[in-house]
Amino acid sequence: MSNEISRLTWRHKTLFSIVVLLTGILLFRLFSIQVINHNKYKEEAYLMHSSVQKLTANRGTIYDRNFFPLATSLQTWDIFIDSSKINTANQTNEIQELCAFLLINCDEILYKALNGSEQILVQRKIPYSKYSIINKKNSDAIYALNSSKRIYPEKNLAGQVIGYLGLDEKGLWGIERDFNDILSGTAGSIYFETDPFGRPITFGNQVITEPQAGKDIVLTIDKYIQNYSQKYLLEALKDFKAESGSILVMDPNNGEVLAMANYPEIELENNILLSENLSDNVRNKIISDIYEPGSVMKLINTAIGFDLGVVAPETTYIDKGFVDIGPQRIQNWDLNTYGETSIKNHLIHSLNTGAVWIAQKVGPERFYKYLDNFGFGDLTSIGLSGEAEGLLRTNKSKDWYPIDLATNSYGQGIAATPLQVLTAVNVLINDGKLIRPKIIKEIANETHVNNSIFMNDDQVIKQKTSQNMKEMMLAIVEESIYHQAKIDGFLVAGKTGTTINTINAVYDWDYTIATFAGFVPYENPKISILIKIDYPRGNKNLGGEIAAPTFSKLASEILEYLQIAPSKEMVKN
Amino acid sequence: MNKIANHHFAYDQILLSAVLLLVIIGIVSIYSASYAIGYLDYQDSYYFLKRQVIYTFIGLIGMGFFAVMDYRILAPLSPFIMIFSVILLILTIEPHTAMEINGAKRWVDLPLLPPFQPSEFSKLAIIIYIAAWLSSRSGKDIGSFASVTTFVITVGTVSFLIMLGPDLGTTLLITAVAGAMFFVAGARLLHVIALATSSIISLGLLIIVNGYGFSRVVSYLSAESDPGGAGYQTLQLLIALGSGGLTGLGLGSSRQKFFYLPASHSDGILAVIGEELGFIGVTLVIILFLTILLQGLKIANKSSDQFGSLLASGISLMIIFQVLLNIGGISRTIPLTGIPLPMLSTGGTSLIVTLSAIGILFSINKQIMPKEKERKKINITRIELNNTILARKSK
Repeated sequence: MSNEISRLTWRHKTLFSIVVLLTGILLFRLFSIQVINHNKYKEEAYLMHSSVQKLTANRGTIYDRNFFPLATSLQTWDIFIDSSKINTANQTNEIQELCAFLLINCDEILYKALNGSEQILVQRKIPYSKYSIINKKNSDAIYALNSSKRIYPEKNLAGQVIGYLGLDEKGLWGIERDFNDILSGTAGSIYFETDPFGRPITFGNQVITEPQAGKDIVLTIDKYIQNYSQKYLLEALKDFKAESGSILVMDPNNGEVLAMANYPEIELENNILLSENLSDNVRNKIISDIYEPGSVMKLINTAIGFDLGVVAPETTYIDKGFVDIGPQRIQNWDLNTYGETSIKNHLIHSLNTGAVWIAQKVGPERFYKYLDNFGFGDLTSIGLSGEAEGLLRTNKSKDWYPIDLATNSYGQGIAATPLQVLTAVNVLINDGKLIRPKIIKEIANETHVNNSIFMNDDQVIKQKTSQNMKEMMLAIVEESIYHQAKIDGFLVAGKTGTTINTINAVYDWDYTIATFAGFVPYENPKISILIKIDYPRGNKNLGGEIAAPTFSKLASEILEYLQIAPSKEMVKN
Repeated sequence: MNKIANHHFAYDQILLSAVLLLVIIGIVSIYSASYAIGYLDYQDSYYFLKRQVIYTFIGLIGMGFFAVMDYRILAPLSPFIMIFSVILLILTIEPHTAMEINGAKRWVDLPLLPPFQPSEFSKLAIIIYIAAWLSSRSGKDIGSFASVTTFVITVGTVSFLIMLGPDLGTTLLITAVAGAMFFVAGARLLHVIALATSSIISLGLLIIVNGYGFSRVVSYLSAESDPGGAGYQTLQLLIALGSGGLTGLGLGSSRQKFFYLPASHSDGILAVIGEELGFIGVTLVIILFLTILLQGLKIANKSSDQFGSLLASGISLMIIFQVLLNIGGISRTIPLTGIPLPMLSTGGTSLIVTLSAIGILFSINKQIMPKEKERKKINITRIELNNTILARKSK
């Protein structure tokens, strides 16, 4: 080669050398671009060519205990307009057709499209039926992205328990929020290479990361029992002219919540984010709102007395109609004097004087120790957020006065959530063991393991005490001739409560909370129920008049649904 | 038999191999680069491939024709060829025949003929004309003032007409090739330097006056400031080349050809080759072009007459200068000039003219073949003679 070049004339050699020099510069330049800076351009090419499409993961379904879906997800499509593709009048027509089809006003969308916005959302979450029609038109400027919509086959059933999602399908409330990570799963993606117009490149790379579907959650809620609870709650509110209330149904044997009904309720399917009184309606008041339990507390008070051996069912005390604690006088609710009264009768007649008498014999130290063991003043560990601890002043608290022991004994001056109260009552039914309440039965086909499993079912009271208390509760209902909690064919046990709310530090009979806590059947308890009706405005305002009949109606329907045979003793009679 | 074959089909094997390899690389690359755009624009993925194959065929016929023809008849024809070329160039700006594409008037659309680019033809025409003119002056003082003036006027007229296109790149190319031929013909160094300097100055002035060229310089200097607009092509070319790396993404695997790269099958073909075959592929292409240059210059050197020598020099320089301008633009070493890569870019006129020009190279080579054989014979005789002398001496 060099020999051949040497044969050239010097002028040719000069030109050849110049060309070789210039070629060398180009080769160096190409080497720099292609080899030295390869990674930089590779990265630029990657960013420019790659397109990622999100694959939404199916959100898990929330089921009731019998696998009836309460909240489930449906695939939908969000319709967008890519205004950079609107070039012809034809496409503008297509958009107008689209708007007409979706029954929306197009003016704003077209205005946006003509004024620079590139990707314009037309409508979210349209169903397949509509999407398939839009898709068939195959318009360049219109495109759809996957989305999903939460649907509620049982409508508003257990709405406050289920909670709701934001527009981004993220749980904002209730189970949807507390278990969002489990329900939502992991979104997948498709990575692919596209040309500048977003069309996939033939033979381009494609990487698909499959979405991981969310896991299902099975609640302990029974949709029928929940439905009955909501029905009778609403009926009671209507009958007794009240505006709010709650009903809690549990299985006392294992702590499973069968129904949690609150009114006002939320309308899950309607645009709840915009609804008025959202925070009031969505609250699951059974776990988050506290109230003074009232006379239902006399059960706990009596149980403490029995358990310590301080009193027995037939122990008597002298009822003077009042008790003086320092300068303050506590009277019976009916302002009557009963004279020599047994502990059993103090419960049947719900006498404050008897409750105070027992509590004073127990003494504050042991009284509050027991209340603590019953779970008052502490979270129940049901595993839902927004749970309230309740208010419990003990003799260790700075603002505690001896009068507090007296009022606490009949359920005033102490506040608890309905869930805490029924959990404590369940201790009386359930051989004295505190069983933590549960609302999650299974997650993703696995029996749910929550904190409560690490908490022993504490023996709060003796088994004997539990037996005595069940007999007391039975007597309260069945030994009263007209007790409205009675159910034909079953032995009912329970206790009413009427909380007189404090208005300006004065108890006002116009602001009562009528409650009833009970269980049925007496011989083999299957359900325990707490009824709570707030501020009835009619001529009735006592627990016995309002909550007890509601209990009776609800419980009899549940017993029928659960196909529980009537009591043998009742059949004999 | 051998003698007849040698006489009629004498060819430079290395040159022919390089040319055929480039033509094949061109066909393959054009198919790869154009099937998507062919499908989009003409609903036919093979649209550009078919055309390139047809043009290659015509070009090879042209190459054979000129290889067989005695190139020496081109010398007396050169004024007519030049006049014909100028007429064609005038047609590009004549409203009835002109065909404007992307704001550039480079095309002529005549009845019964497919549209073609006269400037491609004038590239060869001016080489023939200058070679004839300079060879006619051989023996006379090529460094005289009159010679320089005539040279400047001739080249200037053609350049001016092409400039009206406007086609800055071709103007630059023709000026450079003409200048180089002038240098080869034995021009004084001082004149060559003066002409080069004044050309560069006028080029600079033209760029500032002429908006088209100016915008190319601006996008060359600051492509990053407008990556989606003026700088788009410059940056996309670099991404194509750079993402190819050393060995490339593989034949057919270019991503940039999917409408990211403007002119991916024409002026930008080397970027697609760089993306698919990498630095190695691009280097191979450059080596093939250098081979053509070297073989061309060797033919020029061995040519028995001045016309053939200048013609061969002009043709080989025209090819390599186009390569330098094209790759220089693609690699952002210089601004983009719109010069195609000979034999690789689409464009029928360019391909046919280039292959015909290479045919002329073969023709020049054919004329010197016997001479070289005679020279070999003489050498052999000398060796034999020496051997005889040595033999005698040893006796």
